[in-house]
Amino acid sequence: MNNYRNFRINIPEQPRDLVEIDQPTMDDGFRGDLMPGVIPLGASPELSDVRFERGGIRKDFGWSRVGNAASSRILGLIEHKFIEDGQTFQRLVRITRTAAGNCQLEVWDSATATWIVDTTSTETIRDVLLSTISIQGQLLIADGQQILARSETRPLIAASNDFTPGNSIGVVGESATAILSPAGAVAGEYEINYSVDITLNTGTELTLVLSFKHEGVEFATRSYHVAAGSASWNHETLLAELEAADGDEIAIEIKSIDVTGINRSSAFVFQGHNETLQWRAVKSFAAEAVNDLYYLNFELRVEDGHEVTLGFYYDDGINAIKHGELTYGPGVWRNAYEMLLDGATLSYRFGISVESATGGALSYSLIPSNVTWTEADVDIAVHGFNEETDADAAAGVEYQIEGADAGTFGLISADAPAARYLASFGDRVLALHDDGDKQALSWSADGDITTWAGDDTGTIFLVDARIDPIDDLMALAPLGSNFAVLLRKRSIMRVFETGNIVQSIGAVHWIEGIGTESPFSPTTVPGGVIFLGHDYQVYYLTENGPVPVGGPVQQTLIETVPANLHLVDATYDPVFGEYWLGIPENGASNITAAWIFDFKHFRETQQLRWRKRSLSAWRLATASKV
Amino acid sequence: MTAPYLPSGQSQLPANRFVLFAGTDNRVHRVDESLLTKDGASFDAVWESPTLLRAQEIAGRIITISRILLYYMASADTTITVDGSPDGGENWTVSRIVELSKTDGGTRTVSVHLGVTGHDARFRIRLLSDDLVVVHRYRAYLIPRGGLEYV
Repeated sequence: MNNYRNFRINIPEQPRDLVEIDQPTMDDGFRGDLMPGVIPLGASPELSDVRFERGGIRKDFGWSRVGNAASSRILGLIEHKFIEDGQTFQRLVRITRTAAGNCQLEVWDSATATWIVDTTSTETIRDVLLSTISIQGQLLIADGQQILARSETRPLIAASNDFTPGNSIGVVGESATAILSPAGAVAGEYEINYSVDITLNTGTELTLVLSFKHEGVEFATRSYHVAAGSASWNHETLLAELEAADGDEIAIEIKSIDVTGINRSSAFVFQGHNETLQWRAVKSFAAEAVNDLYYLNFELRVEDGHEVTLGFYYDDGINAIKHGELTYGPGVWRNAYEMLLDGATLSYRFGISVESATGGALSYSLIPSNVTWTEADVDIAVHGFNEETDADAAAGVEYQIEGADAGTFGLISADAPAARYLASFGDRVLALHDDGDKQALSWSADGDITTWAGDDTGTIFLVDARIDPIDDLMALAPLGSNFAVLLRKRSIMRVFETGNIVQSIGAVHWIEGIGTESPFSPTTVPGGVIFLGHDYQVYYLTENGPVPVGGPVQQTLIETVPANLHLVDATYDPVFGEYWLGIPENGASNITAAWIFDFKHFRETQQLRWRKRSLSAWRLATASKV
Repeated sequence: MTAPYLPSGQSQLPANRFVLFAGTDNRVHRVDESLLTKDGASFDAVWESPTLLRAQEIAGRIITISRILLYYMASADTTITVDGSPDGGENWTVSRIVELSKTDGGTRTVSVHLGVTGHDARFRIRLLSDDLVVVHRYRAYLIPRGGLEYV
């Protein structure tokens, strides 16, 4: 008998033709659901810490530490948002258990890059992963034996700083200043008080522009216009948003004064050839030229082959001063020489002189015409308020600072259940807890999360199990605006408001055979909730039902997560549209890897693209401000 | 730390959220698109190819991965590592350190000679340096060999 009849010997054919595989993309993600011989050539049976970009692979993003280490493991990590006195606060909070067993909150302070102990409860908490939500201005924490509530109340305290006593500015470049102390205004809002007086003695129009500066940097301007006569603004207020520190300077500065004045001119008294300085025109009006500008108008003819240099002079009554000179070649020049002078001098004489002429007197002809200027007389007084010395109606800069915290941290209510899982639903808190051997769902009053007894509150016991005796209540998540989902170990229920104050919340069975044993895996994503099912499938649950999206990783999860499913945590990155599923591999007592599902890519292409990151963590979270 | 932060090549990204995790070192860590290190330490990124033995006419045969042509973009002159396995990744018998040249917005190619032979021949790419490298296409050159085949 030939034992080898089913084998054929392939004689090596050296060399056979090359076979080429051209794979244009490499971003199909991880595929653990098929044998490596049949998965797409752009997918991978094994990957770690890569991400997909431009159809290819690259090293995944890195990470950095946020401040110092906590004194013990972090049981909860959440961004707590609340509104106080019209201001929105975002607190990144990490929650630990002290050596004495109390619950301690630490808040990230980005200004000092430190974690600051916010407060410590006198209540002891269990050393378990905590369920946390931020609702109605309070941070709620459940550990299975209670609900703790942290409410932060910071009364606002008025603060103010004056400008220099007796300040009054009226010339371009002048400024009045105030020093901020202690600064640190809530939301950076400062009110700057000042007055403006303008008298237009001569001229037809005036526009005054004020510049407001913080530490020398302009952050706002304001304009004031006067058509004739005088005008006063006795109490002006500018609202500014500034990141100011103690000791910073606020200044009001006159940026520009634009006046439409009366046109004046004075004729030169002699015209003709003259190589010596002759005073030709006199400004004798007792008012200033606008911007102190004067124009010396003349006509100069220079014969071919020659050059003439003219000197331009003024006399302030003490000295004859050459302002400048210019050289002209052949041709006819009808020019206006611009002369900027000191505005404080009321009377000037002006002259034009032939400094040199290459061809002598016969090589040119100079005809000085006149001196022109625009005349205006204005009085401007801008005053930064000083309440203390000048008795102005308000302080120069007024703002509000946060007072000391007058909030509380403790049991939300003596009537609240010993919750181990919390969710917000409408204006209520839903709580899952164990009551002996019963599984219970409780809810607070609508709009009042501190009330857990009486009308509009309640508890229902959900002990029935249809297809599996192990059907504990595991997690809650709002799904759309009309109902929430209650995820049990083997089924999913709908939770809804009944509209009946006697039984405000109802719960009905919805989906059988799909549940979760990972209460922190459900995460709200656009259009629904993603969670790790009890069968290690990952589901995208919408109002239309569950859609399995974890096919590529299900078998791998079965093989690598044999225990500690309660340690699974998840979060959603709305920037890249990714669902992060943190898992403890091979019986680990913490998260050792994150499987990342590209939810955005799924919504666009229906493709299930997963990748993996290695990390060692207790909890995952997303925050909008770090 | 200030928001927003923007990863390279994605200047218009409206980034205003941060993924965080509480590590077992009891620290909070923030995923940072601008970094290619974990808390300042380098890390390895690995992508393994599927089994390359695909063509019907050579199914069940032994093949040799003669070479791999990689199409890439690199932010600097740097290196990557390409390994070859004859047995589906159980053993990586060939390892090549591949030098890449900086690209300026375009794509370059690099040929990696592996010469690994087996029933389940694969390759893997390891991105070890802290320079940004995107490998976005590959072309594998295979040589069918002989071998015992069950019929």
